Amino acid sequence: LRRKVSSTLRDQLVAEIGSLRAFAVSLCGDKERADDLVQETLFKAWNHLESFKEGTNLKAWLFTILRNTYFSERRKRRREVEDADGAYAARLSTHAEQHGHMDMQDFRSALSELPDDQREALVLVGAAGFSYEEAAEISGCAVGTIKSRVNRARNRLATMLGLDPEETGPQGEGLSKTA
Amino acid sequence: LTPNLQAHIGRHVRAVFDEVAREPVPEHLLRLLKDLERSGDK
Repeated sequence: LRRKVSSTLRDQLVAEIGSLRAFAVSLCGDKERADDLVQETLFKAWNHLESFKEGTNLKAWLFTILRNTYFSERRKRRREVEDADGAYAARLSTHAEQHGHMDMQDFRSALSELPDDQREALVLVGAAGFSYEEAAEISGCAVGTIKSRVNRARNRLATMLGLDPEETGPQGEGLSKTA
Repeated sequence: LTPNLQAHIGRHVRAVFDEVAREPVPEHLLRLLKDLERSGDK
């Protein structure tokens, strides 16, 4: 049975690796560690395939495994990780002040400085393409919690980047900064 | 936040995400899946 399922399922897993890596980078801020997380996720997924209900959302299932892996490891070595995160945030945040306009690097820095739960919610809903309901299931919390995290994330980004909350234009690329 | 600003932020979040998501899959991850598949056939 496993053999019959495996080649299509393998293709489906491969198709999600890009998104999984992007999600992992958004969680930990480090590509090498992100790849370790993805590797562990694929390994766990493969070994627990019987707990995946075919026809349900494979992507959401994989994202759930990845974020649970990340947060349980993080709990295990909290001190070490907090140091690493601090250094990472510090390295990125110096960059944001060197430019008068907002570019992608500024945005990336601001995103990395959001609280974990807010960044996770924003990425799941705003970039990975999940509904609020799916994101709530992945993060193991209520739909209302996800909604408020996404709102707080947006507001916080706008504040950090000096964006006018009443901004109505321009439509062009990049966000203009308020004077 | 205005819908316009929300959309701006949304575009940037997606750009940061897609930049990584569109990178080629690292060889070692593809190899892992092949190995798992093979071991599942035993």
